[in-house]
Amino acid sequence: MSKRLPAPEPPTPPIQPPGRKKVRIRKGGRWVEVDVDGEVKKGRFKYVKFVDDDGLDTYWISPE
Amino acid sequence: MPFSSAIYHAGYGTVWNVYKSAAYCQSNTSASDYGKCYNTAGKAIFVQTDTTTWPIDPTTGDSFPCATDGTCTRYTTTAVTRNFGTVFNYSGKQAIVQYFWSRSHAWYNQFYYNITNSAYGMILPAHTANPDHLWFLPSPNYEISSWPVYDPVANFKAYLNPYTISSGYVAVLRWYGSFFTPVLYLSAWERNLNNIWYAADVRVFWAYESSPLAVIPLDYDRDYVPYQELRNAFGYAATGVDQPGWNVDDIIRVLRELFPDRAWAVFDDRQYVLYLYNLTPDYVPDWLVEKLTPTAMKVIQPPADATVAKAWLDLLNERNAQIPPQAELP
Repeated sequence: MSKRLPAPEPPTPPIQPPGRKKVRIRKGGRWVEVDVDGEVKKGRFKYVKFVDDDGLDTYWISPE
Repeated sequence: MPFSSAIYHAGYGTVWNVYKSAAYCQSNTSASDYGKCYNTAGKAIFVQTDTTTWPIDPTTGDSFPCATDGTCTRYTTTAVTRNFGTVFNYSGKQAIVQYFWSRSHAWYNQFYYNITNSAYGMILPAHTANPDHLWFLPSPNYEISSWPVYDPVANFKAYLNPYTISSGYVAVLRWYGSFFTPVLYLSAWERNLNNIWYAADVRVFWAYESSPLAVIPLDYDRDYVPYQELRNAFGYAATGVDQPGWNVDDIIRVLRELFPDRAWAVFDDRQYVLYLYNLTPDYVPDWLVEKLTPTAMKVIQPPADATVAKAWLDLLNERNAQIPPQAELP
């Protein structure tokens, strides 16, 4: 009778770079993860700050 | 300037595709079934102000018969104008109302005069006529009739399920055209009457412009030339805050040229992005964010001088304070 092998360990999650927070935003019809530099609250809405692909400082509405 | 189409459909006691044709309520106070509504699809409207005879108790609810059995919405106050709802209310841009259809049952031919009205129309300064609070009907091509009603366009058959109702009147109103307004209400001219009822089904089609907005409060005297140039190019909004125009890139290019040292914002109402020039979100007032609900704010150029950004904010707040509240009907 063969010995049953133990179940493989779950993969180790990648180590997050320290400092910058990652947030998933809905952009162009899909979810993208961005490194955010800050947050700003405007009325009922919260925006996260990051540098977008166009190089502009961008404040995107936070899904959270 | 791209346009989109939209439709509004509302039913009060009767609806478009469910023929509850005999829908009516009993308004004869001598009748044993006074206050009842029959054959309704959804809730009819009943105005009965006597809350002594038919009180509303916070625990047991409204004692008026049709309110108790859920066949009507009861109003306990009379109104000159009964506002059933807002069809649309755009900030700083116009819609073109194209088609209106209603079928109503009521205690009397009350709908012959009314149905919708508009407010805060955008006008050029040279125009003296004020389109505010303009009743939509009557118009030359409206029609009214007792049932059965011949309405071949809407139904493609000679008679629209002919029937007679045992109480009240039926009216079909139809209107085609092009009428420009930023706000449209669904209203009836109720004339402060009491003990009345409606059952109505309404459809409104309209198109609305999708266009970016330049957010830059201008002073007519101080900025006369660019003011005129912008207004002629981009059109004019009654608020003085928003100016409907071309596309975002065009507006940004023109504003960069005309106002390189001022603060301004451009709102892309297709992508819902607010572009900021000589501004950061810190200077964008909460009310503007609530009004435009941008998905993103992008800083084209951060403010070189905080006083420029502050001046934009102060002027914008000042203009906003002058805009009358749009929630209430006169």
